Amino acid sequence: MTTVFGPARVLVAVPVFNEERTVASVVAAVRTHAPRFDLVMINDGSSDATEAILRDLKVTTATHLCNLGYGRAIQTAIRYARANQYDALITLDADGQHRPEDVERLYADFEAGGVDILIGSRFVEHRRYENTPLLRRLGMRLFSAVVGTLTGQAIYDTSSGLKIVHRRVFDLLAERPFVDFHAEVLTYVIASGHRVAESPIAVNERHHGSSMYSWFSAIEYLPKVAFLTLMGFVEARLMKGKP
Amino acid sequence: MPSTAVVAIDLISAAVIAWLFRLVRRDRLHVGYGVILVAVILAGAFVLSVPPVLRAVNMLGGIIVAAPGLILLTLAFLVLMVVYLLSQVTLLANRLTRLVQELAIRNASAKPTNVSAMNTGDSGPSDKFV
Repeated sequence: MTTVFGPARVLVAVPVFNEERTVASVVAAVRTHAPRFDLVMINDGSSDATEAILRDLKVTTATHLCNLGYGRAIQTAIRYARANQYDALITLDADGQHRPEDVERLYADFEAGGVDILIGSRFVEHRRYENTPLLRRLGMRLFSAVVGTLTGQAIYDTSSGLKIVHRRVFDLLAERPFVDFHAEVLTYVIASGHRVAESPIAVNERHHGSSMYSWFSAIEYLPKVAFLTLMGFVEARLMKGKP
Repeated sequence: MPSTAVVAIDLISAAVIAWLFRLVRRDRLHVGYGVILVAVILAGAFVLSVPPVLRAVNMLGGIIVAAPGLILLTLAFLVLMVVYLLSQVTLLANRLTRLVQELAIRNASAKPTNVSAMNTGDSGPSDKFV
């Protein structure tokens, strides 16, 4: 992607919360495999040594003074990208599961496809949710079905943390309430007339830490995302065509 | 309960749910509160609209006093108060969130670890190494 001012400015943003064991390797991997992109770490109020490690690594870090949650960290990344006039934003998880070596290929797909959001999808190739815990698998199937039913577009990995977002949708998303930048955002963006696509990626096994979803938050997640998904769909349809 | 009362309750419930949707959409009510309130209102409307369910609830409760209209008004008032309070809490939380995000963005933008930007005077942040 190029702009009238030259090559596109692309930002890689990595939300991080108490990931002292993986954050250095993630930063090193992004620097190695995606050196032409800028990098910002969104430290979401970590209470361990994450902040000190990021300082030592001399990486640009936007630090939340308290923990706001994954969705708000992504929103901070979008606002940062918008404020600094980036053309695209790539989000990546800090737990080491995403492979930064996929980023360049994914970005090439993003450029070629001319889409507004490209999802690095774990499931689009095989369309099977293997090696995923039962509750999570059910949730993924449910939200994939909800997005498909509402928008008419099948999205197989609604909860992937590896996404590329075009600046065209920065304004749409910067002020919007969302839970975790998952089905609720995808439905809203597609229903608003923007293009979303998936491109296959592989993920590494998680070696440290645990999922950000506890049993309670997983149960809480379901109605909240369902509520926002439905609301976003209705709103997007009502607003479509209006200036 | 007369059918006109049931229709009135359903209409009022629908209006309150629409209002809650609007509050959530405008980020004036946290989605978690919205989900709980909508669930409570739907459950309440369902109980009041279906006579056998209402009878069963009355029997189970066994504490319904002889002033259901007053109780209904009190409940409605309490729901509105809860919505108002939660809306205010959401507003405060959103302002705090916005403040935390803006501080993070400003601090990050003010301290670029950006070699190319520092050399060229480019205002954009970068993490590129030379």
